[in-house]
Amino acid sequence: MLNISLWNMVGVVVEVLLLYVLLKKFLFKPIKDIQEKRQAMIDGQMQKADAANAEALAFKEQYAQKISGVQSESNQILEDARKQAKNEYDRIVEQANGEAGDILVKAKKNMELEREKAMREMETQVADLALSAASKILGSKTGTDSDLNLYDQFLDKAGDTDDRTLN
Amino acid sequence: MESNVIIWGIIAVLVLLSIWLTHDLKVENPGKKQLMLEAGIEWLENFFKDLLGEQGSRYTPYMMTVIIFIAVSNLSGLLGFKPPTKDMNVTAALAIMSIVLIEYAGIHAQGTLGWVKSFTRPMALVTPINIMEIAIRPVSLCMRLFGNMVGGFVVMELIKGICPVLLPFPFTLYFDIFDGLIQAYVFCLLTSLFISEQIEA
Repeated sequence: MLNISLWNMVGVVVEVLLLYVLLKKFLFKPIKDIQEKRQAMIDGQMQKADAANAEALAFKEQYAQKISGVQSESNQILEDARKQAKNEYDRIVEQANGEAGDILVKAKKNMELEREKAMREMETQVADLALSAASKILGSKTGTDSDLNLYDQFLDKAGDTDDRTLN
Repeated sequence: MESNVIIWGIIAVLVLLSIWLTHDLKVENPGKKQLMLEAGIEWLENFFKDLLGEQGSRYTPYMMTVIIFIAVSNLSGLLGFKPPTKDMNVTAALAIMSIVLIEYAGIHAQGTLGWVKSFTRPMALVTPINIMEIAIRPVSLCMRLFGNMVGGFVVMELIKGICPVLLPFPFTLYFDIFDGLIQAYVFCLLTSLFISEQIEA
Protein backbone atom coordinates (compact mmCIF):
# COMPACT_ATOMS: atom_id res chain seq x y z
CA MET A 1 0.00 0.00 0.00
CA LEU A 2 2.75 2.42 0.88
CA ASN A 3 5.71 0.93 -0.93
CA ILE A 4 6.25 2.68 -4.19
CA SER A 5 7.39 0.55 -7.09
CA LEU A 6 8.33 2.15 -10.37
CA TRP A 7 7.03 -0.80 -12.37
CA ASN A 8 3.70 -0.70 -10.65
CA MET A 9 3.40 2.96 -11.47
CA VAL A 10 4.37 2.39 -15.09
CA GLY A 11 1.75 -0.35 -15.19
CA VAL A 12 -0.88 2.04 -13.87
CA VAL A 13 0.11 4.70 -16.38
CA VAL A 14 -0.18 2.18 -19.21
CA GLU A 15 -3.52 1.00 -17.90
CA VAL A 16 -4.94 4.49 -17.56
CA LEU A 17 -3.76 5.40 -21.06
CA LEU A 18 -5.28 2.22 -22.39
CA LEU A 19 -8.54 3.00 -20.60
CA TYR A 20 -8.41 6.48 -22.12
CA VAL A 21 -8.03 5.09 -25.63
CA LEU A 22 -10.71 2.46 -25.14
CA LEU A 23 -13.27 4.81 -23.57
CA LYS A 24 -12.65 7.34 -26.29
CA LYS A 25 -13.26 4.68 -28.91
CA PHE A 26 -16.17 2.88 -27.31
CA LEU A 27 -17.92 5.54 -25.24
CA PHE A 28 -17.17 9.14 -26.16
CA LYS A 29 -16.89 8.75 -29.90
CA PRO A 30 -20.16 6.86 -30.49
CA ILE A 31 -22.06 9.36 -28.36
CA LYS A 32 -20.44 12.31 -30.10
CA ASP A 33 -21.19 10.73 -33.48
CA ILE A 34 -24.80 10.17 -32.65
CA GLN A 35 -25.16 13.70 -31.32
CA GLU A 36 -23.57 15.16 -34.43
CA LYS A 37 -25.84 13.05 -36.59
CA ARG A 38 -28.83 14.27 -34.64
CA GLN A 39 -27.66 17.85 -34.96
CA ALA A 40 -27.21 17.38 -38.69
CA MET A 41 -30.67 15.87 -38.94
CA ILE A 42 -32.21 18.74 -36.99
CA ASP A 43 -30.35 21.27 -39.12
CA GLY A 44 -31.52 19.50 -42.26
CA GLN A 45 -35.09 19.46 -41.07
CA MET A 46 -34.91 23.10 -40.11
CA GLN A 47 -33.57 23.93 -43.53
CA LYS A 48 -36.27 21.87 -45.16
CA ALA A 49 -38.91 23.58 -43.07
CA ASP A 50 -37.51 26.97 -43.98
CA ALA A 51 -37.52 26.06 -47.66
CA ALA A 52 -41.09 24.79 -47.43
CA ASN A 53 -42.10 27.95 -45.65
CA ALA A 54 -40.51 30.15 -48.28
CA GLU A 55 -42.16 28.14 -51.01
CA ALA A 56 -45.54 28.44 -49.34
CA LEU A 57 -45.05 32.18 -48.99
CA ALA A 58 -44.16 32.46 -52.67
CA PHE A 59 -47.27 30.49 -53.56
CA LYS A 60 -49.36 32.70 -51.34
CA GLU A 61 -47.99 35.79 -53.05
CA GLN A 62 -48.66 34.27 -56.42
CA TYR A 63 -52.22 33.37 -55.49
CA ALA A 64 -52.88 36.79 -54.05
CA GLN A 65 -51.68 38.32 -57.27
CA LYS A 66 -53.84 35.96 -59.26
CA ILE A 67 -56.87 36.72 -57.13
CA SER A 68 -56.39 40.45 -57.45
CA GLY A 69 -55.95 39.97 -61.20
CA VAL A 70 -59.18 38.03 -61.36
CA GLN A 71 -60.93 40.70 -59.32
CA SER A 72 -59.86 43.49 -61.64
CA GLU A 73 -60.66 41.36 -64.65
CA SER A 74 -64.16 40.67 -63.41
CA ASN A 75 -64.56 44.34 -62.62
CA GLN A 76 -63.46 45.12 -66.16
CA ILE A 77 -65.93 42.63 -67.58
CA LEU A 78 -68.76 44.05 -65.49
CA GLU A 79 -67.83 47.55 -66.54
CA ASP A 80 -67.74 46.56 -70.19
CA ALA A 81 -71.08 44.80 -69.94
CA ARG A 82 -72.62 47.79 -68.23
CA LYS A 83 -71.31 50.15 -70.86
CA GLN A 84 -72.52 47.92 -73.63
CA ALA A 85 -75.94 47.58 -72.05
CA LYS A 86 -76.18 51.34 -71.67
CA ASN A 87 -75.24 51.84 -75.29
CA GLU A 88 -77.80 49.31 -76.36
CA TYR A 89 -80.42 50.93 -74.18
CA ASP A 90 -79.64 54.39 -75.51
CA ARG A 91 -79.74 53.13 -79.04
CA ILE A 92 -83.08 51.38 -78.56
CA VAL A 93 -84.65 54.35 -76.83
CA GLU A 94 -83.42 56.68 -79.52
CA GLN A 95 -84.76 54.42 -82.22
CA ALA A 96 -88.08 54.14 -80.45
CA ASN A 97 -88.25 57.90 -80.06
CA GLY A 98 -87.47 58.35 -83.72
CA GLU A 99 -90.12 55.85 -84.72
CA ALA A 100 -92.68 57.40 -82.44
CA GLY A 101 -91.90 60.84 -83.90
CA ASP A 102 -92.31 59.48 -87.44
CA ILE A 103 -95.61 57.90 -86.52
CA LEU A 104 -96.81 61.16 -84.97
CA VAL A 105 -95.75 63.16 -88.00
CA LYS A 106 -97.41 60.70 -90.31
CA ALA A 107 -100.58 60.71 -88.25
CA LYS A 108 -100.65 64.51 -88.28
CA LYS A 109 -100.18 64.52 -92.04
CA ASN A 110 -102.98 61.97 -92.42
CA MET A 111 -105.24 64.06 -90.26
CA GLU A 112 -104.41 67.16 -92.30
CA LEU A 113 -105.15 65.32 -95.50
CA GLU A 114 -108.38 63.99 -94.08
CA ARG A 115 -109.45 67.47 -93.07
CA GLU A 116 -108.59 68.97 -96.39
CA LYS A 117 -110.54 66.24 -98.03
CA ALA A 118 -113.53 66.96 -95.80
CA MET A 119 -113.28 70.67 -96.43
CA ARG A 120 -113.18 70.17 -100.12
CA GLU A 121 -116.20 67.92 -99.91
CA MET A 122 -117.97 70.48 -97.83
CA GLU A 123 -117.13 73.24 -100.27
CA THR A 124 -118.55 71.22 -103.12
CA GLN A 125 -121.66 70.51 -101.12
CA VAL A 126 -122.04 74.19 -100.24
CA ALA A 127 -121.63 75.03 -103.89
CA ASP A 128 -124.18 72.38 -104.78
CA LEU A 129 -126.48 73.77 -102.14
CA ALA A 130 -126.09 77.31 -103.43
CA LEU A 131 -126.66 76.12 -106.92
CA SER A 132 -129.84 74.22 -106.02
CA ALA A 133 -131.02 77.13 -103.88
CA ALA A 134 -130.51 79.47 -106.81
CA SER A 135 -132.34 77.17 -109.15
CA LYS A 136 -135.22 76.92 -106.69
CA ILE A 137 -135.44 80.67 -106.36
CA LEU A 138 -135.41 81.02 -110.07
CA GLY A 139 -137.97 78.27 -110.43
CA SER A 140 -140.49 79.42 -107.74
CA LYS A 141 -142.47 82.64 -107.22
CA THR A 142 -140.87 85.70 -105.92
CA GLY A 143 -141.98 87.52 -102.75
CA THR A 144 -141.13 87.90 -99.21
CA ASP A 145 -142.76 84.65 -98.32
CA SER A 146 -140.73 82.78 -100.72
CA ASP A 147 -137.70 84.72 -99.70
CA LEU A 148 -138.20 83.76 -96.11
CA ASN A 149 -138.92 80.28 -97.05
CA LEU A 150 -135.78 80.21 -99.05
CA TYR A 151 -133.73 81.51 -96.18
CA ASP A 152 -135.12 78.99 -93.87
CA GLN A 153 -134.51 76.29 -96.29
CA PHE A 154 -130.95 77.47 -96.88
CA LEU A 155 -130.25 77.85 -93.25
CA ASP A 156 -131.73 74.53 -92.60
CA LYS A 157 -129.60 72.84 -95.06
CA ALA A 158 -126.49 74.83 -94.55
CA GLY A 159 -126.77 74.59 -90.81
CA ASP A 160 -127.40 70.97 -91.08
CA THR A 161 -124.48 70.32 -93.30
CA ASP A 162 -122.34 72.67 -91.29
CA ASP A 163 -123.19 70.94 -88.09
CA ARG A 164 -122.56 67.61 -89.58
CA THR A 165 -119.18 68.40 -91.11
CA LEU A 166 -117.83 70.45 -88.22
CA ASN A 167 -118.84 68.08 -85.59
CA MET B 1 0.51 -5.60 -7.64
CA GLU B 2 -2.95 -6.44 -6.53
CA SER B 3 -4.30 -3.06 -7.57
CA ASN B 4 -3.08 -3.59 -11.15
CA VAL B 5 -5.28 -6.64 -11.39
CA ILE B 6 -8.26 -4.72 -10.10
CA ILE B 7 -7.51 -1.91 -12.57
CA TRP B 8 -7.54 -4.42 -15.41
CA GLY B 9 -10.87 -5.62 -14.13
CA ILE B 10 -12.17 -2.07 -13.99
CA ILE B 11 -10.96 -1.46 -17.53
CA ALA B 12 -12.69 -4.60 -18.75
CA VAL B 13 -15.94 -3.72 -16.97
CA LEU B 14 -15.91 -0.13 -18.22
CA VAL B 15 -15.18 -1.12 -21.81
CA LEU B 16 -17.82 -3.85 -21.84
CA LEU B 17 -20.30 -1.46 -20.24
CA SER B 18 -19.50 1.17 -22.86
CA ILE B 19 -19.98 -1.30 -25.68
CA TRP B 20 -23.25 -2.47 -24.20
CA LEU B 21 -24.47 1.09 -23.64
CA THR B 22 -23.50 2.37 -27.08
CA HIS B 23 -24.32 -0.64 -29.23
CA ASP B 24 -27.79 0.54 -30.22
CA LEU B 25 -27.64 4.31 -30.17
CA LYS B 26 -30.38 5.93 -32.19
CA VAL B 27 -30.54 9.33 -33.79
CA GLU B 28 -34.27 9.52 -33.35
CA ASN B 29 -36.39 8.44 -30.39
CA PRO B 30 -33.55 7.44 -28.09
CA GLY B 31 -34.49 5.04 -25.32
CA LYS B 32 -34.30 5.80 -21.62
CA LYS B 33 -30.91 4.13 -21.39
CA GLN B 34 -29.49 6.23 -24.19
CA LEU B 35 -30.96 9.42 -22.82
CA MET B 36 -29.42 8.82 -19.43
CA LEU B 37 -26.08 7.90 -20.98
CA GLU B 38 -26.07 10.98 -23.20
CA ALA B 39 -27.17 13.26 -20.38
CA GLY B 40 -24.45 11.88 -18.08
CA ILE B 41 -21.67 12.13 -20.64
CA GLU B 42 -22.82 15.55 -21.71
CA TRP B 43 -22.91 16.73 -18.13
CA LEU B 44 -19.31 15.59 -17.61
CA GLU B 45 -18.26 17.10 -20.91
CA ASN B 46 -19.83 20.46 -20.12
CA PHE B 47 -18.32 20.42 -16.66
CA PHE B 48 -14.81 20.03 -18.06
CA LYS B 49 -15.41 22.34 -21.00
CA ASP B 50 -16.43 25.08 -18.59
CA LEU B 51 -13.27 24.52 -16.59
CA LEU B 52 -10.87 24.11 -19.49
CA GLY B 53 -12.33 26.65 -21.86
CA GLU B 54 -12.58 26.42 -25.61
CA GLN B 55 -8.84 26.05 -26.09
CA GLY B 56 -8.51 23.26 -23.58
CA SER B 57 -11.47 21.25 -24.85
CA ARG B 58 -9.01 18.78 -26.38
CA TYR B 59 -8.22 17.56 -22.86
CA THR B 60 -11.83 16.83 -21.92
CA PRO B 61 -11.83 13.15 -23.00
CA TYR B 62 -8.79 12.46 -20.83
CA MET B 63 -10.30 14.26 -17.85
CA MET B 64 -13.56 12.37 -18.35
CA THR B 65 -11.65 9.10 -18.44
CA VAL B 66 -9.81 9.97 -15.25
CA ILE B 67 -12.93 11.05 -13.35
CA ILE B 68 -14.77 7.89 -14.41
CA PHE B 69 -11.76 5.75 -13.51
CA ILE B 70 -11.24 7.32 -10.07
CA ALA B 71 -14.96 7.29 -9.27
CA VAL B 72 -15.29 3.63 -10.22
CA SER B 73 -12.08 2.76 -8.38
CA ASN B 74 -13.25 4.52 -5.24
CA LEU B 75 -16.67 2.85 -5.41
CA SER B 76 -15.22 -0.59 -6.15
CA GLY B 77 -14.67 -0.93 -2.40
CA LEU B 78 -18.44 -1.27 -2.07
CA LEU B 79 -18.29 -4.53 -3.99
CA GLY B 80 -15.64 -5.91 -1.68
CA PHE B 81 -12.61 -5.13 -3.82
CA LYS B 82 -9.63 -3.29 -2.51
CA PRO B 83 -9.99 0.13 -4.15
CA PRO B 84 -6.98 0.76 -6.44
CA THR B 85 -6.95 4.38 -5.25
CA LYS B 86 -6.03 3.09 -1.83
CA ASP B 87 -2.69 2.09 -3.34
CA MET B 88 -0.23 4.97 -3.47
CA ASN B 89 1.32 3.58 -6.65
CA VAL B 90 -1.96 4.28 -8.42
CA THR B 91 -2.55 7.76 -7.03
CA ALA B 92 1.07 8.67 -7.67
CA ALA B 93 0.86 7.45 -11.24
CA LEU B 94 -2.34 9.44 -11.77
CA ALA B 95 -0.78 12.54 -10.23
CA ILE B 96 2.33 12.22 -12.38
CA MET B 97 0.16 11.86 -15.46
CA SER B 98 -1.73 14.96 -14.38
CA ILE B 99 1.39 17.09 -13.93
CA VAL B 100 2.79 15.87 -17.24
CA LEU B 101 -0.47 16.81 -18.90
CA ILE B 102 -0.55 20.18 -17.13
CA GLU B 103 2.96 21.11 -18.24
CA TYR B 104 2.35 19.68 -21.72
CA ALA B 105 -0.73 21.87 -22.02
CA GLY B 106 1.37 24.87 -21.01
CA ILE B 107 4.03 24.09 -23.61
CA HIS B 108 1.43 23.36 -26.26
CA ALA B 109 -0.46 26.58 -25.62
CA GLN B 110 2.40 29.04 -25.07
CA GLY B 111 5.35 27.44 -26.82
CA THR B 112 8.42 26.25 -24.98
CA LEU B 113 9.82 29.74 -24.46
CA GLY B 114 6.50 31.09 -23.26
CA TRP B 115 6.16 28.13 -20.93
CA VAL B 116 9.61 28.78 -19.44
CA LYS B 117 8.81 32.47 -19.11
CA SER B 118 5.52 31.68 -17.40
CA PHE B 119 7.52 30.61 -14.32
CA THR B 120 8.46 34.22 -13.73
CA ARG B 121 4.88 35.32 -13.50
CA PRO B 122 3.41 37.23 -11.78
CA MET B 123 6.91 38.44 -10.77
CA ALA B 124 10.45 37.11 -10.96
CA LEU B 125 10.58 36.70 -7.19
CA VAL B 126 8.11 33.81 -7.21
CA THR B 127 10.05 31.78 -9.79
CA PRO B 128 11.42 29.27 -7.22
CA ILE B 129 7.95 28.72 -5.85
CA ASN B 130 6.59 28.20 -9.35
CA ILE B 131 9.29 25.65 -10.06
CA MET B 132 8.63 23.89 -6.78
CA GLU B 133 4.99 23.70 -7.71
CA ILE B 134 5.88 21.23 -10.46
CA ALA B 135 6.68 18.80 -7.67
CA ILE B 136 4.20 20.06 -5.08
CA ARG B 137 1.10 19.82 -7.25
CA PRO B 138 1.36 16.13 -8.11
CA VAL B 139 2.38 15.26 -4.57
CA SER B 140 -0.65 17.08 -3.16
CA LEU B 141 -2.93 15.47 -5.72
CA CYS B 142 -1.52 12.05 -5.00
CA MET B 143 -1.59 12.38 -1.24
CA ARG B 144 -5.03 13.92 -1.07
CA LEU B 145 -6.59 11.07 -2.97
CA PHE B 146 -4.56 8.39 -1.28
CA GLY B 147 -5.03 9.84 2.21
CA ASN B 148 -8.74 10.21 1.83
CA MET B 149 -9.20 6.68 0.62
CA VAL B 150 -6.96 5.16 3.28
CA GLY B 151 -8.48 7.33 5.94
CA GLY B 152 -11.97 6.35 4.91
CA PHE B 153 -10.94 2.70 4.81
CA VAL B 154 -9.35 2.85 8.29
CA VAL B 155 -12.34 4.61 9.81
CA MET B 156 -14.69 2.10 8.23
CA GLU B 157 -12.60 -0.79 9.58
CA LEU B 158 -12.73 0.75 13.06
CA ILE B 159 -16.50 1.18 12.85
CA LYS B 160 -16.89 -2.37 11.64
CA GLY B 161 -14.75 -3.42 14.57
CA ILE B 162 -17.10 -1.68 17.00
CA CYS B 163 -20.30 -3.03 15.54
CA PRO B 164 -20.38 -4.87 12.24
CA VAL B 165 -24.19 -4.77 11.99
CA LEU B 166 -26.21 -1.74 10.85
CA LEU B 167 -23.85 0.84 12.33
CA PRO B 168 -21.45 0.90 9.33
CA PHE B 169 -24.33 1.56 6.98
CA PRO B 170 -24.66 5.37 7.31
CA PHE B 171 -20.90 5.71 7.50
CA THR B 172 -20.32 3.74 4.38
CA LEU B 173 -22.61 6.19 2.59
CA TYR B 174 -20.28 8.97 3.59
CA PHE B 175 -16.82 7.38 3.47
CA ASP B 176 -17.26 5.06 0.53
CA ILE B 177 -19.77 6.77 -1.72
CA PHE B 178 -19.78 10.47 -0.94
CA ASP B 179 -16.08 10.81 -0.21
CA GLY B 180 -15.17 8.56 -3.10
CA LEU B 181 -17.09 10.70 -5.58
CA ILE B 182 -15.90 13.94 -3.99
CA GLN B 183 -12.28 12.86 -4.27
CA ALA B 184 -12.69 11.91 -7.91
CA TYR B 185 -14.30 15.31 -8.48
CA VAL B 186 -11.58 17.19 -6.60
CA PHE B 187 -8.75 15.41 -8.36
CA CYS B 188 -10.13 16.21 -11.78
CA LEU B 189 -11.27 19.71 -10.83
CA LEU B 190 -7.75 20.61 -9.68
CA THR B 191 -6.08 19.05 -12.70
CA SER B 192 -8.44 20.93 -15.01
CA LEU B 193 -7.87 24.19 -13.15
CA PHE B 194 -4.11 23.80 -13.44
CA ILE B 195 -4.44 22.99 -17.15
CA SER B 196 -6.63 26.00 -17.82
CA GLU B 197 -4.22 28.15 -15.79
CA GLN B 198 -1.41 26.98 -18.06
CA ILE B 199 -3.45 27.57 -21.20
CA GLU B 200 -4.63 31.03 -20.28
CA ALA B 201 -1.39 32.27 -18.75
